[in-house]
Order: sequence, then structure tokens, then C-alpha cells
Amino acid sequence: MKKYRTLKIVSLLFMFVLGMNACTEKFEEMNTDPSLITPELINVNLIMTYVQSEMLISGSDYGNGTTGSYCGMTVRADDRPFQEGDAPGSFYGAYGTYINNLAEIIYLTRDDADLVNKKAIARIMKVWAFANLTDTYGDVPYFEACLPKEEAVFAPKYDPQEDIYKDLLKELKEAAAELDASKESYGGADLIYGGDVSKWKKLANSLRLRYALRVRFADAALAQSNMSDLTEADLITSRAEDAHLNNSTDYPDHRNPRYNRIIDYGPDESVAIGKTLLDILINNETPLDPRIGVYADTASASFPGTPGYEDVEPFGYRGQPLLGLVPVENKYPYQAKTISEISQFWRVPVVDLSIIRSSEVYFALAEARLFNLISFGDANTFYQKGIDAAILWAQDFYNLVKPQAPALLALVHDDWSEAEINTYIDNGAIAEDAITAFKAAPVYALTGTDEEKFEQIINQKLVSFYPDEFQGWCEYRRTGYPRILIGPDEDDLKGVIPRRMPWPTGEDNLNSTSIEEAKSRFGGKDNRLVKFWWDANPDAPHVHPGTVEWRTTPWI
Amino acid sequence: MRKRLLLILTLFLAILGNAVAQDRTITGTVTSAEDGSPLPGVNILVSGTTNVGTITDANGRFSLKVPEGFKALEFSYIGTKSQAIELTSSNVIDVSLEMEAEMLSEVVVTALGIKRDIKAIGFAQQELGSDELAANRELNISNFLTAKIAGVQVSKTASGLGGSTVVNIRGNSSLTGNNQPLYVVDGVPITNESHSGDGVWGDRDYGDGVGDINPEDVESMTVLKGPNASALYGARGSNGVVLITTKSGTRKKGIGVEINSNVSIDKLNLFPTFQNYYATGYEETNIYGSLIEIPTGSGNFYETMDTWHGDSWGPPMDGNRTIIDPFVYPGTEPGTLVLLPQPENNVKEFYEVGVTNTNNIAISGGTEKSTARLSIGNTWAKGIIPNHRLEKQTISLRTNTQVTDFLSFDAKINYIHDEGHNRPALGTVRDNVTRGFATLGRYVPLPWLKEYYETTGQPGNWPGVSYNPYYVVNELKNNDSQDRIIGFASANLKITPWLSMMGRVGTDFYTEKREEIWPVGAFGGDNANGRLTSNLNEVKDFNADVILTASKELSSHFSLSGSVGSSILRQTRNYNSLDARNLKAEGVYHVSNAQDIRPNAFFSEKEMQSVYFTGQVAYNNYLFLDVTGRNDWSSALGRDNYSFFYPSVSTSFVFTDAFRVFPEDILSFGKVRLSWAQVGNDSDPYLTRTGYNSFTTSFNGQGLASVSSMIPLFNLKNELTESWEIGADLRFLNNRLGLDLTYYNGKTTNQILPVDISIASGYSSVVINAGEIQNKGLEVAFRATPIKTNWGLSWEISGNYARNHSNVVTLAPGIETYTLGNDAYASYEARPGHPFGDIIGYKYKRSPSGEKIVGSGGGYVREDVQSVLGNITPDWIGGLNNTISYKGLSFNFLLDFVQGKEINSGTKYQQTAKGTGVWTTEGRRLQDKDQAGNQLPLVGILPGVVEIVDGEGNVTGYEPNTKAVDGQTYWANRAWSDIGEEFVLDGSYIMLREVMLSYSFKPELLGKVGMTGLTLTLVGRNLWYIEEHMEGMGVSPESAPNTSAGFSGSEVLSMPTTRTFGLNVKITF
Repeated sequence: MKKYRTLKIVSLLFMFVLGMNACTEKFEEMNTDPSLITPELINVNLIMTYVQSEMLISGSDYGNGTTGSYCGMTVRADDRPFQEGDAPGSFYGAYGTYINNLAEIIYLTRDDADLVNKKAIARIMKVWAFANLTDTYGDVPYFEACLPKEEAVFAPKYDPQEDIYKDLLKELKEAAAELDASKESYGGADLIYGGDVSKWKKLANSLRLRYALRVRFADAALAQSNMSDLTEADLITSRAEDAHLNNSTDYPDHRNPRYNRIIDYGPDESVAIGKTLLDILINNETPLDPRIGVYADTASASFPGTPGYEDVEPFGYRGQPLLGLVPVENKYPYQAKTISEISQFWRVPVVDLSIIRSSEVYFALAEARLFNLISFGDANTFYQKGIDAAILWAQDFYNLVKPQAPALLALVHDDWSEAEINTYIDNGAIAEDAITAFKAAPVYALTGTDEEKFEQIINQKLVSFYPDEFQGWCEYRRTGYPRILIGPDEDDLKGVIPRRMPWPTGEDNLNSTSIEEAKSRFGGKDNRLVKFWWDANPDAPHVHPGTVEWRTTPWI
Repeated sequence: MRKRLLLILTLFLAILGNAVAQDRTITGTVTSAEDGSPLPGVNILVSGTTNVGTITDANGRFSLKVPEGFKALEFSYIGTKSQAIELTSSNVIDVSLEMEAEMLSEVVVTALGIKRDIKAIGFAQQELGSDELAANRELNISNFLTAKIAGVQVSKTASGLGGSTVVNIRGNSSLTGNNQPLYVVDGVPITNESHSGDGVWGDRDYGDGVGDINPEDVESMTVLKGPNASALYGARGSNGVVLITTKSGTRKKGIGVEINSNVSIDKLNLFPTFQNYYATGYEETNIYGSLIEIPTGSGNFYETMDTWHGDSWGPPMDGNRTIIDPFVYPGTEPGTLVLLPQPENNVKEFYEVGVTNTNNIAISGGTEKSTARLSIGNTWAKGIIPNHRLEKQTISLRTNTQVTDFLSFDAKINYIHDEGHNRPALGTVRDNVTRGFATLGRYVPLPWLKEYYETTGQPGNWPGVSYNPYYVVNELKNNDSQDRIIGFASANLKITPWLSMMGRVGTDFYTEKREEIWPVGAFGGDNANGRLTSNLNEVKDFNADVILTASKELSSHFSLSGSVGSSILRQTRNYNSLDARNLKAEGVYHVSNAQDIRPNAFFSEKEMQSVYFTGQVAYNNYLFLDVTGRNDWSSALGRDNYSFFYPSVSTSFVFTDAFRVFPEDILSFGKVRLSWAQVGNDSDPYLTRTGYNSFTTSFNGQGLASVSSMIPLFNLKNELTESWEIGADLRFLNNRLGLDLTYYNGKTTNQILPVDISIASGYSSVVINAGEIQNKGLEVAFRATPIKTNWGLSWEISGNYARNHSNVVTLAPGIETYTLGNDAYASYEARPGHPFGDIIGYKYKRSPSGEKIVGSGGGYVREDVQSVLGNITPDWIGGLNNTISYKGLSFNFLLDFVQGKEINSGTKYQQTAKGTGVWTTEGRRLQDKDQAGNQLPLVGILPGVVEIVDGEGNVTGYEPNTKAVDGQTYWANRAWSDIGEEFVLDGSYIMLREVMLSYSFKPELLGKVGMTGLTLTLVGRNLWYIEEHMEGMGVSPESAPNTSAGFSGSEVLSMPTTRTFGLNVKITF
């Protein structure tokens, strides 16, 4: 009897435990990450803000990169600009952070007519991201890239740059047409324009102008057809319309990385201003560009009465030419203290970063008019409006950084007195009489042959781009300007400025078939000297007439 | 060992006997003839009776009333020769029992804790008994397995005291990183979360879960190697199982007390070596400073050395160069410094002697119905890095009660409190002092750094110093503490003589808190304004089982046994962290004092439900057939694939019992075994759905979110490992020689992994359910007793050898490689057709005749595409243990062999890039100027050839390189160009792992002081690399940064390794 009762208890217990095995209903809920926002709950505004902050703030290298050397803006002391090798960062950032998210917004809003502005703005941003990508690498995955999860292509094929560019220009045109001021927009989630649809339309048009001009030497008809439908009123023509974003101090990642570098590693003396940019600003002293104090410091070293250095004059503004790997037995003519660093103003926590500004639009119009790609306006007027806009921007920039400068300078120069700090800050001010004098100088008017005028336009465009070195490099490749003084080099590229970046080596492992196919279009090569489709100007690059000076006695 | 094992059985037999009233009381002690140690649990029976007797207690003592008229006692003990002793007039009888020459009925613990005769086991498993565990004071019990078990590779991560241990059984079968075995303590699996993630770019090693088990509580450890042995543990056992049996009380009168005390010290063993000839700077001459005149107006100018200089490619420290002294307090008048080297060993002196002190007391006792054991342990340890400390307290209580004839309870509770303080930062971060030392300028006076920190409380900033180490170890604090409860309660119900049921609930819960602080002024943008992080991690594993077991002899030839069981496992992980920055009041390290607080939370949950059966048929007790089957339902799999089933079959045939071909003194025992098994494996949670991740940060108040970068697999299926093995267990010459051979062949298919895909797809990874990895190999375990004398001297050798061949057969279609891990310039990958764990990077570019090509700059160049530089999986591993004993004295040494693997050295990379490695003196000149002050030419000409190029850029030939270059072109260029080939070294080694000398006092000497046992042991561990190929760098080949399989061939600025010397005292009452 007792045994039977025991057996019964046993059986019940057993059934109880077995019974637990019947329930798998909770499994699906259990296996969903509670931190995940599901597609039904996502607000695309969050994604748009993320992409904008990443693209303009975190994704920007603020002119500290090697690319600065490729347009004469800056030279980094510890850099090897003529080393072969890939630069995978832009590739991963573009697909893994910007384009994937923008494609997702477009996908999520595709069927909702009320969200057409959100979709169109994402399309414009996506064009910008893709243009930066193809302008870096040439052929890249485009049509098979960043598809929805269900259709994702794990190893997407690389599309010819020409096909990509045609689609980008078409996208900009369509997106601009789609924008509708009567419909909902991003509002404050749009960090650039606060959701202002009319400004986005101008941005789409201005980007179309930029990218149409870019393909000018490869496909003049395509360039012309994408400009002929534009008027000055369709474009960004005022500071208020500039597509730009300032850093934020809310989180370290949102601050100027140059500032973070100082916080992390102490005062930074590794970024010299390029001789090319500085020579344009020095302007043969006829007169100095009023913006020079915003851009550059004077060299800090002097050698008063030092034995062996008696001949050395005070340096003043002295730019760094582009030197590659130089044999050590040749003595460097330049070193940190004997050249101009970029101004400390660029190292404050909050600076201004742009997609495109009115100055660029005017320089683009000046070139377009000069070469009759458009039929309205006057090239010289556009050129002067470009300079005016650029000076206005520089004043704005100075006003932005001025209040931040004392703290920064105290951090960098802990031995400076308040008076020294103030003197430094005042040196950066762009005085009205200096502007007036500058506008009276020959540089303010286009003169000479068309080619000489062209060089003038691009040189001033370079000044206005700073610190957007990437656009500077694009213009250098497209136009051959500015003329960059390059010293002897024993590195991989032998002193030749790269035309593109090789695809990431990671793609060799993960997408080898596509890479091989793309490489075959580049003559089986994937290096920095391969010229891609729009890089078709037969005259580029234009050689700098000068030579690099050498010293027999080393700087000590 | 077998004494202890048989004890349990004996006890069960003994309690059946009852004592009756007698006339004469005989007392005495029973000892082992082998080593004089007392034998507990010896059966003593009055000759001529069947039920008058007793058993010896834990100290071998007995007391027995002998009825009038009986004249002799029989002493029997399993594993010894029985002995009958005639009674004399004395009432005291001391007996010494001799071991039986051959002992065939060894009992081992198998899956589900079932104890079985070893001859019935149809698969390979190996056990470490208390003998092997005694006196080895490793803090982490998994280190006990080092070099002792065939096919098991044990290595510590390179993170110093209290770090994690990697245990790898029969190679790596899973690509996802977790190839660690399952640890099962007294039948209940425990969690073993270890330092599996970083260690390359940063992070600290907080130890692993198995490290919490108090070594003093461990009775035995059994390794179930393949899936064949572990099918019953299911998914979690697919990498093998380590069964840990803890000590319990014994059923005897009185209490037993065991005290163990251990002190050991850790001394630096290998330490990175340095050049001591060149100062911080570049191109062998340049410092790139500015000039300062001292004194003003004197015309004497000296260079400054600027703080941004980090490399040691500067001028020779020959006393001819005077610079402005950088080692001054701010505001001090400038002075000068002659560049001279610092003492060779200056860095070594920063490190301290590590000390570990462990004390444990265990009290056990029992009655005929119940037993109990309480153990309390305390460990205090300090590492070799100043201020690095660990503390651990454990309390363990185990009780077993026979409530009625048919019902017994068994329960255990184990509470563990762990604390760690200032665990060192690992990898390439600046907070890692070892990294700082690897690249420290050789002219830098360490005493100054110490003085500066002590005077100012600040780190300071100097050329050639990445971070003042004195500031790091004193100011960057971290504390962690963990409270853990592991326990179980089970009830055993004997329903009929042949049917019983066991119900068991086991839990493993712990909460772990980790804090790190950075004072205001610490380096790094995130830390500069003061920062603290505070993490709380809550881990819960809940297991419940019900098992019904039947066992019946069907006839005189056949017996049958079997079990049916059901279990449930529920795991939750709840992680919360706060990252608080920008402190308002300096020195107050609390979240409320921060202006920028970033929370992070992670929660995961998984449930696995299972039913299983196991059945065995035995024929004549020499032929055995086992069948098992298990079905799991896992919540981590796809909706249609929750359920999966897997079976196993194994046989064992003891042919020496079936027919005797050779006499026993030639072949004493012979068994062959054959088995086949499958094991399913589920996955980590959350691979079946995806969405968007939001961020806790915002931009000017606007929220941020991003699409998830993983493509999930809605229909995720289980992985499946299938394996067969064949083996033999042979013993010769009356058991003096034993040989155990196993050949196994297994494959794992349907691997569940997020594989990397082209980022251009818009996603970085996709979860796949494909691929096949094969592991096959041979394992040999042998033991021999070359010397065994009657007068007490014996010499025993045991050894093992295992060769594993792994092969990644396929990955998913379109997936060309799977990356197991990355470090700075190389990756660890699984590639189809290759063994697991290729090291992938750039090789030197070579001419067709194999000479290295020198570029026009005078430095070496690399190939255009990456290729295989080596493999992280060893060709073979082994161990050899020798024990020589004479009476109470025992001497033992253990050798550990790992052969045929490569290691990628991050220390070599850093020291080559920075010019601090001792090898970087080659190709550099000891003076840069002659006596007259003229510049001397460079001397470094790299051996190799330069390409002869025609006008069109085609290579037409090669000529020898003649270009002299500076040190950084000669050396650093190899690192800057990521020529990985330079940094991949042969990782083979032979190590003298352990030397132990112990002495057990004779019990008769101890009786007077009230003790029953006293053993003193001197132990040395990790003593000497008899063989290694690390090029004299002073870096250990065992330096994995974490426990992930892919990183077992990586070394990243690892903590220096130590030798341990310890003294252990064990006292029993």
C-alpha cells in the first residue's frame, strides 16, 4: 500500500517535470532582445539624426588626414603620404553607418505619401554619401548595396562609376522634385535645416551642380544637361542657406576631434599648414589675405645668434611643402618649429562643418560660366561673390571660435599670460580695412587666359573649402589645381599624388569575385594611381614651378 | 586514489553489518603497507560470523567487541589483499594491508554522476583523484588538469593573478569562440563565464566561473572527452565535460578535522628584454626639439625633447648628446641632461613579489544515517603589479541523510565571496603598464617618474613615456566583488530494489559588481575630467532534473539497467552599467557626482527543456552495450526548430575476462571499446530577430538610433556534432604497465555563426547555419611503475600524448573565410581546407629565389595580398609526470609539452615599431659622430635584393641591396608596413610545469600531539621553459589575451609570467 502511494507520488512528480517540456509558447518572446526597437515601433527621425551627426561630426577627420596633403591644405609631421595601401575607413563608414541607415529610412517610408519629405531628404543625404564613396574609390557597390534584409546581397557587385554618377544626378533631381512644403518633415531631428524643405531643395540642386561639374571632363553633355535647368535662385547663395552643422559639446564624440586629441595626448604640433594653401593666402603680400590669421600660425622657432644658424631669417608664415620618404642623409629643410602650424582656432571644441556652402556654389557657377556650361550670369561676378561668401564664412567662423579660444590656448600654452592669449586671439580677427584692401588687389578679379582664370577660381575654392580636404582633393584631381610643391620621395608612389584609394583588403576575403571583376575594369590594378572615370582632365595635374629648399646643416 | 574511490562503496556495505553484544574489546589501527597511511572504511569481521564486525574510521582506527569464543578477525578492503589475524592476549591489533597487485573493479563517475565500473565504459574518459589534486595549490582548479589528461590542453590567459584559464578538449570544434568544456559540480552544471572577449585592445580579466570552486572541497575531477562521453549533458556538453565531485562527510563516529594552509610566492619569470643604447627620437640623430640657451646670453644652446616623441629611434646614448632636461617640475629653471642609458633591469624592479595565502578548515562527521561536511576557506593574494589584490572566502556545507530505508536527501550549499582590486588593464591601452614599459624610452629615469607622481599626484608627461606607471597603479583604481551561491538539493527514492528515482534542483546564482575610477587629470579624453564606471552583472542558472533508474539482473548472464530523465535549464543574464564622466567635485567617485552619465543595460534569457534516456545491457560482466538518447527544446533556435534529438551507442568488451590468452602477469587486463555519438548544440540567444538599436547618447537633445548590422536567421537550427571513437585499455605485468589508446573522428556540422559579409551589403554579418569542421586524433595515456620495492621505494611514471588534426571542411556557400578574431595587423581565421585558426597577414615580398625584396627606401616591403602565416592549433600536446616515493616522502615533477603551433607576438610588433626591443640594435651604430664631431654614415644594410626595373615599370631582375638605412627604416618599417610574417613565431614549448616534494609524518609520531596526519609539501610551478622559440624576447608562448579559441595564437603586450613557489601544510585530527 505504502509502495503504491510512493509510486503514485513518483509518477506525479515525473509527469510534472515532463509537463514543463510541453511549453515552448514563450520561446519566441524570450528570444527577442528587449533592447531592440522593432520595425513597427521605429521613428525614422532617430535614424536621420544619427546619420547626420555621424556623417558631419564623427565621420569627419577635420583636415587631419593624409588627404590634406593631396590638395595642399595641410601636411602631417608623422605621415607617409606616398605610401601605397588601402584606406578602409571611408568604405566601412559609408556602408556600415550612413548608407545602410539612409536606405533603411527610404525603405521604411517608401509607401507612405505623407512621409515623402523624409524619404526625399534621405535620398539627398544618400547621394552625398555615395558621391564621397565613389570619389574615393571609383567603382563601388551601388545597385546591389544596402538592400533590405530580405533581399540583401552578401557579396554585392561593383558598379562602374559612370553608372553610379548618372544615377546620383537622377536621384538628386527626383528628390528635389519630390519635396513638398505642405507635408511633414523632420523638424528638429534634422540637424542641418530643422526640416526646412525649401532649403533641402536648394541643397539637392547645389549638390547636383557640384557633381555635374565633377564629371565635366568625362562627360561634358551630362554635366551641361544637369546645369542647364538650374538658376541662381535654385541654389544655396547665402550663409543662412549653407548646409552645415556645428560640433556639440554634449558628448566627447561630438566635439572637434582635434580638441579631443589635445585632451587625450596633450598639445598637438603635428599638423602644419600646406605651403600651397599658405602661399595662396600670403598672396605675394599684395596684400595678405585677411583670413590668414584664422588659418595659420607663424613659425615658432627662431635662431638668434645660434652658431651655424646666423643666416636664418625669422620665419614668419612658412608653409610646409609635401615631402615623402626622404633619405635621412638629406637633411630636412623643414621641421615642426620652423613652419606654420594650423591656427589653434581649429582646435577649439566647436567648429563648423559643412556639406556645401554658398562660396562653393559661386565658384562652381564661375567655372561653369567661364566654360559656357551655363548661360546666365558673369564669371567674374560669381567669382567675387564666391570670395565674399568665403570671407563672410571665415568671419562667422572666427566669431564662433573666439569665445572658446582663451580656454583652449590656456590648455595648449600653459606658460602664456592672459595678454599673450589676447594678442593671439586678436591676430585672428578679420579687419574690415584688410578686407577692403584685399578686394582692391588683383587676386579679387579674374584676369588672364581662361586657364589662368580657372586656376584663380580653384585656388580661391581651396581656401574656401578648408578644412574640407576631401573636396580639395577631388578638385585637385579634376582640375589639376592648385599647383602643389612636392619634394623628392622614395616611397611607394615616388611623389605622385594618389588618384584614388584602393578598396579595403577586407573585401578581398569577403567579396573577392566582385573585386576581381571591378579590378579588370581598372586594367587588373587596384592601387592609388589608377584613374577612374571622371578623373579625365588631360592637363591635370599642373606642376608647381618651385623647388624644395634643402639644408646641409640639420635643424637641431 | 582507488582507496578513496572504494571508500564510498565500502561504507555502504559496512553499514549493513550490525554489531551485537560481545565480551572483549579489540582496538587498533589499519594502515596501508604501501605508504603507511591510515585506511578508513576497512571492513573488519569476526572470523566465523557473517554480521559481527565494524569499519575503521577516517584515521584508520577501529574498536570492536569480540564475543567470547571467537579467535580471529578478518580485515578486508577493496583493492587490498584480505588478511586474517589471530587474536592474542593483547587487546590492541595494528594491521598493515597490502595492496592487491591488480585491481580490476575501478569505479568511475560518468555522465549524470552515475558511478560505474570502468570496464563497462565504452568511451574515453580520464580521472584525477584526490591524490593528484592534493597539495597542488593552484587557485583555479581547472589548472589541475594541465598536462595530466590526454587530449586536454590547459593554458592561462596572460592576465596575471586571478585570470581565466582556457581548457580545450580535443581541439576546437565550434567557430563561435566558446570551446570550453561544461563544468558539472556534483551533478549540477555551473556557469563558467570567462574573459572571452577583449584583452587585445583593453579590458581586464576578472577570472572565470570555475575558478570560484574551492580546491579544498574537490574530491575528484573526471574529464569526459568527446561527445561520446557527454551525450547526456546535451548541448552544453558538446565541447566535453569536466565532472567535479566535492568532498562529503563520512559515516563514522566522531568528527574529522582537516586543516590546509598554504603560502606561495610569485616571482617574475619571463620579462621583455630591452635595448639599452638608443634614446627617444628619430633617424638616429634627430630629436626635433627647439633650442634653449643656458644660461641666457651664454651662447650655449640645448635642444628640448618634446613630449609627443614616443619612439626610440633617436641618437645613441653615448654621453655625447646634451639636451634640456625634461624631468623637471613645471616652473623650474631649465637644466640639462646628458643622454645616458638607465640600468638594464630598471623596469623589472617596478614589479613586486606576488604572495598567495590560502587557509582552509574542513570539519566532517557522520552517523550511520547521515553525514555532513563543512568547509571554510579563505584566500588572500597580491599580484606582481603593485596594488593588485584578490580575496576570496568560501563556505561549503554538504549533508546527506538517509531518512528512511527508501528515501535519502543530499544537499549542498556553497557560498563564495570574491574580491579583486586593481586588476591590471590588458592589451594596447595606455592603462596597461606592461604596454608602457614595452615602449618606454631607455633614457627615462623611472625613479623620477615615481618621485614626480609622489610629489604632485599627477601622471606628468614626458617624451618616451606613454603613461607614468606609478600613477597608473596608484590612481586608476578598480574594484570588483562577486557573491555567488551554488547549491543543490536532491531526493533519492528507492521504489523497489531495482527501481529508484532521483529529483534534483540546482542553482548557480551570482551577482558581480565592477567599478573603475579615473581621477581628474587622468589621460584619455573620456577620463580627463574624472570618470567612474560601475557595472552590475546578475547571472542565474536554474537546473531541475528528475531521473528514474532501473537495474535488474535478467539471468546469470544478462543484466539490464537504464534511466529515463527530464530536465529544464533556465538561464538569465542581467547586466547594468553606468559610465559617469565629468566629476563635479574632484575625488568623489559616485555616479551622483558626474555631469555626463551613460547607462547601458543588457538582458538575455534562454530556456532549454530536455528528456533523455540511457540504457545498458551487460553480458557476463565483460561485454557491455550502452544506448543513450536525448531530445532538447531550446528557446534560442528558430520557431520551427526548437526541438532536436540526438542518440549515442557505445560498447565495451573486456576480452581478458572473456577468454584468457596470456597469463595475468603478462597481460593483466584488456578492454576494447567502440562508440558513436551525436550531440546537438543550440546557440546564443537573439539570433533570430533584429530591429534597431537606440543610443543612450543624443545630439543636442535629439535621440539617435541605427539599424542593426546583423541579418538574423529566422529558421535557426541546432548545430550537430557527430563522432565515433575506438579505444583500448591494456594493462601488463600485473598492472605495472598501463596503456590506454583512443582514436576519434568527429565533425561538427550546421555551425551557427554570425559570419562577416561585405559591408557593402549594408550589413556586417549574417547568421548562418552551415559549415563543417572535422577533428580527428589519437590519444595515448600510459603509466608505468618501473620501481616498486618491498621496503617502500617506488617510482611511477604517467604520461599522455595527443595529436589532433582539425580541418575546416566547408563554411556557408559564398562565405570564403570566417574571422575568429583580429589584432592590430593580423587576423585569426577559419578557412575551408585548412586547420582551425590560420594566422592571416602579410608576408615579406620575396624574389623568385626567395630573397627578401628591399624597397627603394631601403626597407623591406610586403606582399600585395595577405596569406597564411601560421596556425594556432598545436600538432600535438602531452604531459609526463614522475613520482618517486619512499615511505612518507614523495617527489614529483611534471613536464608539459605543446608542439607545432604558431604565435603572433604583439610585444615583438610594438618593440619593433618603437625601437625598444633588444634585437633593434642590429643595423644601428653606437656613435653617430666621430671624435671630431663629423657625422658618421649609417650602417644598417638589410639583407635582400632590390628590383631592377625597366622604363615601363617591369621588373627585369634583382641585385643585392646595398643601401644603408637608419634603425626605423631597418626595423620599424616592418611594423609600420604590417609585415606580419616578422612577428609570427614558433609557439612550441616544453615546460617544467610542476615540481613537488612532500612528506607525510607517520601517524604514530603524531598521536602524541593529537593529530592523525601531517603532510608538508613544497611545490614549484611554471618553473622553466626547457624549450621555447620566442627569440629571447622574454615573452611566454602561453600568452593568450582571452579565452576565445581564435586568440590562442595571439600575444598582445601580455603580463609578464611568473614562477610560483609554495609551502603547504595539511593537518588532520
